Amino acid sequence: MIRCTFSLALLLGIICASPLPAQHVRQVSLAYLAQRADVIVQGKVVDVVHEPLPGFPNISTVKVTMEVQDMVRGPSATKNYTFREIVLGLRPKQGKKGYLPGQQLLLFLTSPSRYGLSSTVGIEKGRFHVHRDASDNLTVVNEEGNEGLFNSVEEAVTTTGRKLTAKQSRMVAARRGSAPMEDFMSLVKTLTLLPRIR
Amino acid sequence: MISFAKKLRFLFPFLILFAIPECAQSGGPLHITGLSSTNSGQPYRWGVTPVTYRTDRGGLGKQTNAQANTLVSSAFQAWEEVDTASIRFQNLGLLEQDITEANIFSFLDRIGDCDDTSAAAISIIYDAAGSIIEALGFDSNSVLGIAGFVCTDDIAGLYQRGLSVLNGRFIDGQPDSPSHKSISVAAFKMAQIHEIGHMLGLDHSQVNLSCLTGSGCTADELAGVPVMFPVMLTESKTGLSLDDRSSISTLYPADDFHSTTGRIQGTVLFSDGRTPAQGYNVIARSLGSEGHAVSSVSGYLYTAGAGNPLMDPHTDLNYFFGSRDQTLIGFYDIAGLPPGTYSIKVEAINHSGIMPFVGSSSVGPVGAERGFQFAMPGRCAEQYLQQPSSPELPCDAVTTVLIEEGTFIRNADIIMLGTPPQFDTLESEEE
Repeated sequence: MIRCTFSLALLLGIICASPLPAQHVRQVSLAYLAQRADVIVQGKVVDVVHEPLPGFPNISTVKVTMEVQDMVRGPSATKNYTFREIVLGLRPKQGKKGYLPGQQLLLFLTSPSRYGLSSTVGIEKGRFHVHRDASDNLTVVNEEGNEGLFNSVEEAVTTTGRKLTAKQSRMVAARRGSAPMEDFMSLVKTLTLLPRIR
Repeated sequence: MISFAKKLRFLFPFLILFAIPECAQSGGPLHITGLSSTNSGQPYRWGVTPVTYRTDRGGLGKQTNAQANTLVSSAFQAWEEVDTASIRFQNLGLLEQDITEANIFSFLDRIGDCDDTSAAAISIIYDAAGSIIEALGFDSNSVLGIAGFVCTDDIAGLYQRGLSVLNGRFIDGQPDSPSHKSISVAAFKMAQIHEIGHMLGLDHSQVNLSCLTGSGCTADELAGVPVMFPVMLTESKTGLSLDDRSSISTLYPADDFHSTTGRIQGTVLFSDGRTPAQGYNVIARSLGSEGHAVSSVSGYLYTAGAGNPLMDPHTDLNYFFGSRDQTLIGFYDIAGLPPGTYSIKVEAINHSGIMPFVGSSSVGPVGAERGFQFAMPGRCAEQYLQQPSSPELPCDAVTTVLIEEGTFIRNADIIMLGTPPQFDTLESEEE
């Protein structure tokens, strides 16, 4: 029997949340991410350590430390934020879904479980990469290309008593692809005004 | 016709997250052997049959242990009953202990020791109320369950040990709300059949997409939607579709599978007739049985990583899975066709709308790794096998294919009409 180099490779079955009420469609939208995440942090990955869960040599985890640039929700006055995810990939050190030092990320995380494990809400939908586009503007895109992310977001913003700005409306109308960082972050902060889903 | 509102009543995405980052997904097999294998480009499968499993000792939401065991058993049985497939299962009984939040890590650690051969091939864990999912760090309100592989033989392309954690929070009897997602037991069971399909090595597939997008869907078409479709459209579905039966039989063929059914292989090409195109859905549909069809994604055996013309040249993604044989970039393979006359259609994988098939709900290698699916690149929203092909042909021109028992057609190449000549032009349009 050959052992997986990184022991635990899993498949997750997700029923997404944040319904579109009229259609009973459940999907992880940006509104759900903002309502559900316990930690919303944007920053730079400065350290990545692949190591077993302490005390369990056959359970792989990755410990990630981010240099915080914007802690939208979570521990305040924190220069660095460290979290640990159980490793689900056979080869987690590679691929865009792995964590690498130097990455600029925006993460919507669960709070650490009593065993110290967190993950991004909506898995790939809750993990955003920050890039500079050809015009040197910062953009943000999750690991599903922002597909479906803005579903029902306009209605959600309305319930906060606000309206989308013109720039946000254009971003939401695009429906997919990289979004301007500034407009995106302002939208996230508006959506954090929605009642938490706990 | 079924009304759109009714169709969507039970609509929710399986959104199976292939949390295996380098996975070379396809419309058929889930994993394809890569560079570490002595025989790359082969689908992973279980090497020993019957595949053994044990189930947990506790309850699952409002389900008693006995009820949960029945649910799981029937989900395995759905796949075992395919008479053209050889896959079989053996229930070894209950696990040694009730797995809970308190002991899940010691259990995972134990089955993660792949040198210890005492464990069943598949362990089924009942997470009574979502606390195990939460202990693992996941959002119990959106993660229906966890399923996957603990031990594999990456040289031979074999699954050796698997695990499934079912989240009982979804069937604990509480009403559905944003803060507490609930589904029916019937839907949960369908989800488990789907999950087990993945555990057997099957990817999502796309047949009768109009049943999701609302452009028209008959009852016959709805019945033909695969269990392995990324989205559950109805919980009243009672069995596997032709596409599901073909997929499982192709991976685990019974002795007479290929002699009693037909098979079509070919390559999807750009309009230059030479450049292969990865990431398009090819469907064989029997004339006279319109709802029931079998699909394959072009390039499903080929890596989504380094060496793939689709990949950003600045991205160093040396994916573990998938062949590097560039003759496979546009290759499709449709087997398990009952005798009849077929059209062969190529279409885009669902790339827009409320639930595009990307990421967790992806079909094929492109959506999984690139986060998008291609629209059809030429002048046809969909088109068919046309032989001989000509740039002037209308999109609905069809060359039908006669399939008899044992028919095996190769080189059924489909040239897409009016497309850019190759990937580079197309990619710039997508990004």
